[in-house]
Amino acid sequence: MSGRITDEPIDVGRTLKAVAHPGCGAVVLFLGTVRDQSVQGPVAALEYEAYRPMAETRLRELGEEAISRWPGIRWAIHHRVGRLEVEEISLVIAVASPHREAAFSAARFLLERIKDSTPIWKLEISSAGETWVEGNPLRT
Amino acid sequence: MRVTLLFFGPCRTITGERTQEWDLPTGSSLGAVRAKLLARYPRLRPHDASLVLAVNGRVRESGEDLREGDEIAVLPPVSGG
Repeated sequence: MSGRITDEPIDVGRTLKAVAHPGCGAVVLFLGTVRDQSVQGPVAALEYEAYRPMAETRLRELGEEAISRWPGIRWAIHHRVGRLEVEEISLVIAVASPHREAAFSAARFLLERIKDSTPIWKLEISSAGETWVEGNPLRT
Repeated sequence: MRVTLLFFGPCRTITGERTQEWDLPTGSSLGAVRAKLLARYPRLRPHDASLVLAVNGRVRESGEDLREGDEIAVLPPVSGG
């Protein structure tokens, strides 16, 4: 189980390896990637910043909550910070489970909670300037 | 007593700094820090209801008493993913 904030490019193979287990017949992998559009218009790049120690603690807490809801799953979440170009991976969530239902449900749960419970912020960079993405009040 | 403030996302843009050291009267509460922040940075006022304050990495309420060396993070709405 692994919840990490990193400024290095994300190695999806490594994330998958972190959850692999002979007793798991299903692995769900979610990737968040940088899109070239937002509601504001064209996007050239994104810059993410995190309150790193708290964000990693939150990721671990979310992982533990997922395990209590779906016993037997294995999870890994890696979130990138710094400047990311279009198509780069900002987030990877991997969940392994004996069966597929729990893997899909837990991955979805983790994704939604990362978006409102983890102290990470996203700055959109375009030719018009830089704008912080309006987010969700941090769930406490 | 000395405390450290950390600013993130749009709050960092508004204050223009990632960190600040503040001298506070001993026994100050987190609520006093919030009030001082809003007084010092009027542009934070519209965000007051959505700003969360954490002390040493844990979200705390306004009544929380602060101690020498505490790290107070000012956390605007989040947008990871």
